[in-house]
Amino acid sequence: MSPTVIILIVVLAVVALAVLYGVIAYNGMIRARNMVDEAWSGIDVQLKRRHDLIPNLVESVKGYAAHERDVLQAVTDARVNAMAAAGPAASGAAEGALGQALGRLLAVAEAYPQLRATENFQKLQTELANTEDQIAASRRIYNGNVQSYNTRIQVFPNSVIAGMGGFAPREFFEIDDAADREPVSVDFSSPTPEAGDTPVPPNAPTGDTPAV
Amino acid sequence: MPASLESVSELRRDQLRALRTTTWWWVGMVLLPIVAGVAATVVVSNRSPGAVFVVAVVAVVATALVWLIGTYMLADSRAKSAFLVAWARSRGWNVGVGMWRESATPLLREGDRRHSEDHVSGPLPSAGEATLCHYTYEVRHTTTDSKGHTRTTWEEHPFTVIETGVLATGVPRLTLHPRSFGDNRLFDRIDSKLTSDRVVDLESSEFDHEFKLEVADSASDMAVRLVFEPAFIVWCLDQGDGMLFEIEEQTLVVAIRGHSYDAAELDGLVGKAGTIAARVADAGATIPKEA
Repeated sequence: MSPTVIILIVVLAVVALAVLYGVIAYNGMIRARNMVDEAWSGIDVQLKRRHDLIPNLVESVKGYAAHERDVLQAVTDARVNAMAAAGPAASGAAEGALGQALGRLLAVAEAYPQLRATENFQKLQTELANTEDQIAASRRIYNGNVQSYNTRIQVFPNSVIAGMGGFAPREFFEIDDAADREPVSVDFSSPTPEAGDTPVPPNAPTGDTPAV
Repeated sequence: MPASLESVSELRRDQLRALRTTTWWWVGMVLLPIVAGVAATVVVSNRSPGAVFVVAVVAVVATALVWLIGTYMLADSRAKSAFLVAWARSRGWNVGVGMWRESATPLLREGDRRHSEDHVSGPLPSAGEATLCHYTYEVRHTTTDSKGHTRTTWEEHPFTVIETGVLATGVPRLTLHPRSFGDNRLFDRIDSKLTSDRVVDLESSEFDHEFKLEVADSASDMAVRLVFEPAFIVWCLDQGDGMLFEIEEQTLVVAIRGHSYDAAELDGLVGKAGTIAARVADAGATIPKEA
């Protein structure tokens, strides 16, 4: 076999391998992008479920605390904003605001034992808590998929194929919660709990406060 | 809060102490080495006195050692059984086979031969009755050397297993195993074509990377996705490598590698089985009839 033929075979083999790698990498990116989209639709379903629960919750509270107009209106406005928000970043900010408004609404509800005792309110609270759990889980899944996808399209030589194929990095879904960023205040002047008292840590989950 | 249990090593120490108080143990410990020494002396009596002495001493020491090792193994075996009985009773479980079904799921049919022992049974949290046992399957390896001699060895794969009944609507068979080295996702499609099961990709790339989820070809996609809701996917991920479960013919098997004699590990396994059984039952209750 002449040296020219050998060189030609080697070049063809290298080209074939490069094309094969390109096809596999491209398909992998498509799969990863579809996984991100699928995970986002999972979040969307849970967020819609949360939005659907809110009018009933507001109506329940209104029946006992109609004068808490500001709090009720804030929840309604936050829900409208959350439903209008598009994309992970905007949704994250809007859902964070909605979570805070809901937190205030539930805090108001705490002052009305009769409201808390109603079956409808308890059911709504339970459903809301379940939905929050599912949102938190969906968010973890989505962000995991985004991290995997972003890494896949940013490493070399995939970045070249991603550039040609128009694969753009995706945003993480971070829910803005102002309470998370507030410094923890410690009051050393408060009296020591007496024996039998159970101290409650700051920000302890209560089971009815949205924890997204 | 369950009562604290003595560990296997503490129980073994107790067993050793108990064995040492028996007459037959002391008879064996004293007489057997003497008999072995005398026998060795008789066998090598035609040798020099020095050689006879050395052989007799070696026989005495070796017999005593074998007796001590045998004692340790007996105490260890009794301690392990005693631990499991104590663990079961402290959790309100009973000693006995319960509803154990041999070969119920693929794991219980693995290997060339298999056996289970130490069965205890009792209720799972928020689920039905279950049986826990130590299960082992063995794989036969046969090698032939250049002279044509065939040698067979058995490779053991021990597990601690919980088996319980579960109403898995729309899912006749399901297996969830951690992916091992070489169990690459590239081969999932080939696996699905060659077997009566198919690999399911869920919406989490992390989950698909960590676990291989296979269901019967006839399983309903909706039923599988109802079981694996986002919160359950995340729960499975949080269990890490220790997550292994199978469902077949309304039987759920949850397993961890190795024969466990650790109370926290056994409690964890019971908790896991309860969570999985409850999730499968909840999903089954919400699935539409036609799915």
